[in-house]
Amino acid sequence: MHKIRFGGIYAFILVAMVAFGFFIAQNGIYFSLPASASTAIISVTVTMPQCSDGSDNDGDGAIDYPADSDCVDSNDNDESGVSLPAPRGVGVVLDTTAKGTVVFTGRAYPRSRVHLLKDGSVATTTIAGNDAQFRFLMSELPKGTYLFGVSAEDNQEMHSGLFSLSLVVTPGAVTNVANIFLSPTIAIDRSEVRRGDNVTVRGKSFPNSEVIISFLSDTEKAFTVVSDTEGNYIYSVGTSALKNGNYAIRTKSRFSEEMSADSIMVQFSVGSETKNIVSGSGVPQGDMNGDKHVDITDFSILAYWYQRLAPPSKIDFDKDGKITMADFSILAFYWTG
Amino acid sequence: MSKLSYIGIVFMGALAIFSSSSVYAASVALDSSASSTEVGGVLRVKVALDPEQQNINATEGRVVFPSDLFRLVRVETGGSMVSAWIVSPRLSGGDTVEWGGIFSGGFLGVQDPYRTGLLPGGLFTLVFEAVQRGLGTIRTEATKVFLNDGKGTAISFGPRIISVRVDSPSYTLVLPTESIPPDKNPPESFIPKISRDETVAEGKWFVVFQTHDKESGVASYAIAESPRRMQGIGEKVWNQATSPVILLDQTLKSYIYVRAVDFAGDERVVELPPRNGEAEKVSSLWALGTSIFLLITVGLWGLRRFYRAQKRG
Repeated sequence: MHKIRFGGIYAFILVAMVAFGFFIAQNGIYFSLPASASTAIISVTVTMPQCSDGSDNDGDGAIDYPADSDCVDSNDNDESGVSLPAPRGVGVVLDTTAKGTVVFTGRAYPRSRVHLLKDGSVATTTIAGNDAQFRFLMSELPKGTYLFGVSAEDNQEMHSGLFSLSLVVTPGAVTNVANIFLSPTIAIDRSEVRRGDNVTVRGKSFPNSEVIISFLSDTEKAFTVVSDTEGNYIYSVGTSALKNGNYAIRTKSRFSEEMSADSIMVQFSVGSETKNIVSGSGVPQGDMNGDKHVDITDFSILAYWYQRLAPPSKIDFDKDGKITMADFSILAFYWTG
Repeated sequence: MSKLSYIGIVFMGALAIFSSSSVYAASVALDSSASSTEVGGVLRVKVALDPEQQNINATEGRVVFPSDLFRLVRVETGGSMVSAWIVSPRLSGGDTVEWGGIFSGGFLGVQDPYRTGLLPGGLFTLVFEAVQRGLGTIRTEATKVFLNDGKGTAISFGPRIISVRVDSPSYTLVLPTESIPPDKNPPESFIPKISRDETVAEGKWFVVFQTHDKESGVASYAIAESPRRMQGIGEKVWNQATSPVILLDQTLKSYIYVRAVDFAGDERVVELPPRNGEAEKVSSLWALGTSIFLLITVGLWGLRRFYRAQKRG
């Protein structure tokens, strides 16, 4: 009796494994990143050699090796029999000399510039559509692990937070990174606010999305506003309930139950006077040369002062009187490429 | 209770235990190719970062090795997850390798579409040659990672230690030989940038550069400046360099060449044309145009005077 029962368990496990394998074969392999890194979906499409791809590529009625006599083996990439076979191997092998392809798709803001970074530098830029959707295709990538990043730039040259992903690129395969939901851009109109005055937060987001604005101090207070059809959002908040001190603000968007990553942070203080920020003059923290990008130039300026005495205060982000790895960490947080 | 139910309870219990293990701590690990080798043999020690679900954007630290047992042959950075090095892994003090670098935008772990979960990312690999028999340890020291939180929050952790043994050569085994990883490609294409900032070298012009090599890694950079375009650059002209480099020609009328060389010896040279060369051309054209205009004006004025003189005559 027991034997029959355990036989049933084994059969159940076997069926479950087969079903799982069938699901993977039908749907590809999908992963979700942790929530803190947005909810991008990664899938892989392996480009199979013609003689093992299950298709009648040359239209002669025979499919794949050994049914198609023009195929030398399952690695042959030409069913017509004209080309030389791929290197022989056991079973189906990928051509390791081939290059990999990665496709990135997601949401930004209507007609915004969207940058694709490879290992910290902007590799290519595209313009999002009227529907705020964007797509990149990066091909001819040698086998390896890459640190990719995607960010958007609005018409005020303000940047979203950088969506970052370390990805193994497989030769001969197409990797799809879909559903990237870039964070809103963010700007404020005042660097210092007299207690009781208002501070206005504005920026670009995915159109008609719910923008959650968080004030960060000892506690976190959140406000919500909906962006318009062009993705613009604006929110003015009074500061009478805030104590004197420093505050940081960041935003994120929600659309159809999907949440974007966090925006970069902007900082202001509540004090005795109000200081306005001239429109368009704001530069992201870490942008030391004022070109509205945080990139290798800013990194090099910081590297110049690494372990040197008396660095300028404007590049000593943590104000400890020296340039340390903590300052580089702050720079890396605001990186735009 | 049936055995099926019993197994189900055990399974669910195990699942609960594993899923509740939510104490995460990023770590830098040492992974040795072997726990022992022989004199003359090669030991490869990979230094890898496991973010353990934390978003990390910088790391620094040291690896200390027994210099009486091992000689550091090389540091391989090909395939490193570090996007820019502040301290490229280098020998310091004879028995210590220091490093410091950033992951621009943050690093949560490597996503391999063929494997589940987020994997540790390689920082670099140390290649040692055993020089004397004995027992020793290789350990990390002063290792820190920094959270991608915009505040530079550091997490320090204790040393990671691996024990290694070097035996006398047996002469019967074929020892692994030291070899550079296969690398058929030069470092990736890159574009140096010329810039200046009041905070750097009293506002002088400088050039910044960076590239990667996924195979053996970038071994070095060199820079050359020339008032004329150069086809082949002699070895003596190159100066070893680390970004940023203050330019010798502050008038920006020189060609700038930056060379990146990988550990296999493949090199990529990029050329920046003179920034002010075009301005010179424009100035020359402007001067030429002005001269022609003046010549024609003077000529017309002369002709007019000539005809007037003829009319009077």
